Amino acid sequence: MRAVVNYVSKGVFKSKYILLFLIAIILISSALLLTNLRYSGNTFTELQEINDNRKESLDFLISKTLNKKNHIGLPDEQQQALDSLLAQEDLINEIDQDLHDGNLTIAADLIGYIDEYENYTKLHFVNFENESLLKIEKDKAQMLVMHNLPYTEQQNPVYSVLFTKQLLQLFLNPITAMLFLLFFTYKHISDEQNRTFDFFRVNSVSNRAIYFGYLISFLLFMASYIVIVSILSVLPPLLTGNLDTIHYPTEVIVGAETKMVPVWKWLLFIPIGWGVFVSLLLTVAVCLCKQRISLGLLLTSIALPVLITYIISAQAGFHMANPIHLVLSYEAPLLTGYQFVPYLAGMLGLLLVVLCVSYPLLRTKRPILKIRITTGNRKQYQPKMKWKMLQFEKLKKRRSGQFLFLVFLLFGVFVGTVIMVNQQNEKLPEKALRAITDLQSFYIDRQVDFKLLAEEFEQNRQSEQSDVSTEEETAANPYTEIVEEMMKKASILENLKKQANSPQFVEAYRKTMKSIDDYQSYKELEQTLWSVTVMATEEQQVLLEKKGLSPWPIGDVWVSNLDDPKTAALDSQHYKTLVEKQEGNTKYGNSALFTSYRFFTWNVPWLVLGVFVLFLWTSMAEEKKPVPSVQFLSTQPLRLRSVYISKTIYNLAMAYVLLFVAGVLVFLFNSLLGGIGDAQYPIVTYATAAAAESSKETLFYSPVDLTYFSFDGLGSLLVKCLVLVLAQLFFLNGLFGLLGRWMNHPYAAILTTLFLTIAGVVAASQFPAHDLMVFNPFLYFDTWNIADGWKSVEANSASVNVLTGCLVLVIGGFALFLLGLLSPGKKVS
Amino acid sequence: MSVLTVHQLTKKYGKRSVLKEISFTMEKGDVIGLVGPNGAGKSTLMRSILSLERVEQGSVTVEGVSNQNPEFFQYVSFLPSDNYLYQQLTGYDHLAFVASIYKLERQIIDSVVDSIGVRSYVDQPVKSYSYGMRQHLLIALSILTNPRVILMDEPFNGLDPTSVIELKQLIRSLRDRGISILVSTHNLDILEDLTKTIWFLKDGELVKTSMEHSEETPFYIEFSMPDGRSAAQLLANSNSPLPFREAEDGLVTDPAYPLEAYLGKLLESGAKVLGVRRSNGNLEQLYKEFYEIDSTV
Repeated sequence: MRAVVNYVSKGVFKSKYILLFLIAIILISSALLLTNLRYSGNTFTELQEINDNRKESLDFLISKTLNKKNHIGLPDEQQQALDSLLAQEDLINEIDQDLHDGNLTIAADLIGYIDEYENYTKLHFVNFENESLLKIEKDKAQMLVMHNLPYTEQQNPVYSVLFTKQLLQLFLNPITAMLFLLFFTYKHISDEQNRTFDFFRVNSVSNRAIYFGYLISFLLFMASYIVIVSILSVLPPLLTGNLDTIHYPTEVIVGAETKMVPVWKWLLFIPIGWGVFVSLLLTVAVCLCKQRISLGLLLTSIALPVLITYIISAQAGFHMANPIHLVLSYEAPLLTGYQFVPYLAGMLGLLLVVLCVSYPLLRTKRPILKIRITTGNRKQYQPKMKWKMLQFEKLKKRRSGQFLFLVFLLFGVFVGTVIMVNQQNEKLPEKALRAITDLQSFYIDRQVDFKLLAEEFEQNRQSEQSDVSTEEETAANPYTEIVEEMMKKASILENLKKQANSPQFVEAYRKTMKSIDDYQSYKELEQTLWSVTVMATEEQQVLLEKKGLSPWPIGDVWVSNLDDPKTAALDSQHYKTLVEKQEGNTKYGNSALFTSYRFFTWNVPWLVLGVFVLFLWTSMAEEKKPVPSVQFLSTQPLRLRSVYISKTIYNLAMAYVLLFVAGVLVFLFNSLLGGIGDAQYPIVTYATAAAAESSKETLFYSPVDLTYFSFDGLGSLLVKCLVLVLAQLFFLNGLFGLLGRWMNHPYAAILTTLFLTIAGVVAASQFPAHDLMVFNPFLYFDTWNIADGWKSVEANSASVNVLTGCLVLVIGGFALFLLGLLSPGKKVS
Repeated sequence: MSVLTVHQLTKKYGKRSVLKEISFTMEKGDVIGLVGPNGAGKSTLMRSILSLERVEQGSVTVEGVSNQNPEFFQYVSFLPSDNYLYQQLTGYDHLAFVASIYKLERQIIDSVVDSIGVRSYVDQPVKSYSYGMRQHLLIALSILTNPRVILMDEPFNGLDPTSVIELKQLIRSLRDRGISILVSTHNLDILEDLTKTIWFLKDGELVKTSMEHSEETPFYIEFSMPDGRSAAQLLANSNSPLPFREAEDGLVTDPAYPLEAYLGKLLESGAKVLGVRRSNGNLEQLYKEFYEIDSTV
């Protein structure tokens, strides 16, 4: 066995690709480090900002209280409150000074401040802090003090172990695990096909030794990868003497609570968890390889249980027996305590069991499963008499293995989208809590002003007591009511937080958010406040109620494209407000239709189109280089035009069939996870004035945004998107075919197609309003924005719509196809 | 009856004429050897016949069908010198595809596969083939469709001696079936063994020669002298006016003079005549003469 391990390991380690692989790892790590270095300082800015806000609140309160003291004096309790405020101010000033000096060892002062604030709250004066946030801050500060650590950059870490964590998460995740599996199974199968196994056998190496030799080599390679990545990731903190940051607390949300997890737990869990997960996959893969099944069947046999464990985890949550948590959704259930120890021990046990079971399987001389034996020989091609050229094109792709690779890649793209949507949906309570806390802080912050105004009002009234009538004395303080209202809202939000993990949370969130709004209908407001966001939110609600549909969580507001922070922000403060509004109202879901909606709004079809061009499509250029197989075709009684036509039809047919099959399968898979969803769900669509005039329906008009809008069902919009994608494929195929006809190298044709597409899309996004842009086919590659009419608003042209898009793309594609068809060239050199 | 007709085929690379108004016909069952040094234009001629090259002028027809018509390739097949096969496809894939175009039964593929001896590797991808294996497959492809004319560009390259013998036998059997073959090769011995009709390509022009014997063909007389003198020394000493060309272990007569005169002179001089036969000399000699190669170099 040792000989096999040596042979395979040397083969892997001495391969030139390993060097490239290492260079890639080093480059990615360096790129991350440099990016972090460039953008570091977020945590510092955040601390500074929090401190400045506190300072501002304290200054304001202190000046008001001193003013009151100077005028009318203070009762004992308020004097104590003032003393406390002054003490807090001292601490905040110290923190400020430290921050000013670039010293982030402020945890002790921060604890002092929070303790002083807690004392202050007992005096029932003006509260100006969000207590739940204070608790989180205090927990964190206490951990920092305990380990004598300063605050450090969290978002873009460079010198701390947080960078190690970030890099480990980048290199040791489910995607890299699947890539490892793909690489090793490919290596295993290709070695078997290249008779390497026969070489071992004729040298008296047993089957057991061969297969275990491969498995051990793969495991060694995996371990080396983990070690290399770990060493690389730990280098910056090691060289800068920051290894003690392994105790640095990171925030993990569990239900409605935020818990602190020291970084070392991540550093311990990620490599072990990933290593065990990949070991499990590789062991199963080697057992399946022994059965001599094809690569496709093997990957399916492994991917299917992985998907099932993922579905179980998505539906039923965490379970100690589910190995998917080795790489996914482990933070809250495992790292917040010490549950990860028994879990990892259990999974190591499972790995041992799998290894034990694999032993007799790998020892056998013959495969246990009677599945097609893979040898160097291929199944004989038996073409049917019709569509010979199409069959031949398909055969070429199948034989090159690209077909299978493409199917997996396509499934990867689709399933990846599904998993991303689901993962986001799982984080819904976390996002909601953040949105609630932000809003709560907003009310607490604002009530400070009104509380002081109320006090001032009281002072004025007392000072003017002698001059006023009895009736005026009894008049209510208007500010007190506002303060009470704000505190009530903050308290309602606090209660809402407690429901974060209940099944009714989503409904409660929406209702609560709606209830704390100050108006019932936009129609009560002045028209200067009738933005698309305000109007569409309410009108959508009306439609939802009429159709009996549940609104998508979270948030009751439908943020229109006109409030996109990237384009609508007037200044940094406005940007921040818009971002908060968007975050608080981002829609989450995991139904099949919702995932399709995200699929288009995230523009995933671009990836799919690229995949088709790169891996599936075939052009005349492929017949010229690297092997001039066009001569083989040219010396048959065939016209090269028929080859060109067959290639075009093949590309389209396969793209449509694969898209359909993969789409349907993923839709069904997604339906298992989150149901089908509501095809009738009303989505805001935009229209230009011209389109609104010609429309048979009455459209809503926002006098603020000067934009017309209406609603269209989600299902209808998705169908429009799908039709547009089909037309995009048609056009792209025409372009690719033409370039392939003109160019001599397939890669040149692929790269030029992609380059032209990117250039066209960029031009369309930069100058959408240009008169001729309506004829730019690439304008219609922004699928969702064409379907919902937003592009027509951007282009200020009613002509920019799905119908025109389809026409331009189909006619353009057909013209390119004809151009290629009519290009001269029976001669091939 | 001529099968292949080439008329005034002219091909230029820039200003250099590679083929100058080449015209010829091939009859049914002709086997013609095309000879010339590297760069003489042998492959270009074949590729031009197949319309794989753009030509300046000329026409090519097979049984009246122009090479611009795809139907042309129903009658002509090609065995190229360079690799144009799909690397990822198996040999069988290629054969099955060609068979599907010609609507041939599977049995025909099987019989060709067996007759050419590619059965053991026909189901493996071409990329795993050795040069010789690939040549075998190309041969199988070229005969699969039972063409009227086969153009073979360096078909013996990379073949082992057994395969060379088999291919020569195959070419003879194809000739016997009435298939015309134009074969180019650098291996003159093989070519000499295959055909007596040799065409030389020189400066873009085709020079047709035949190694068939006639009344004009000189004799080769093999003899030995007890004192080891050569033919030149022998005839020089005899003051004989008989012209001759020296050859290995003998001499080649001038057809203008009778054989008897040479034999008489040799016997007079005490030579022991070992054999007499008509001979054009061998192809190598012809080649040397044609391309003016100095054999002393």
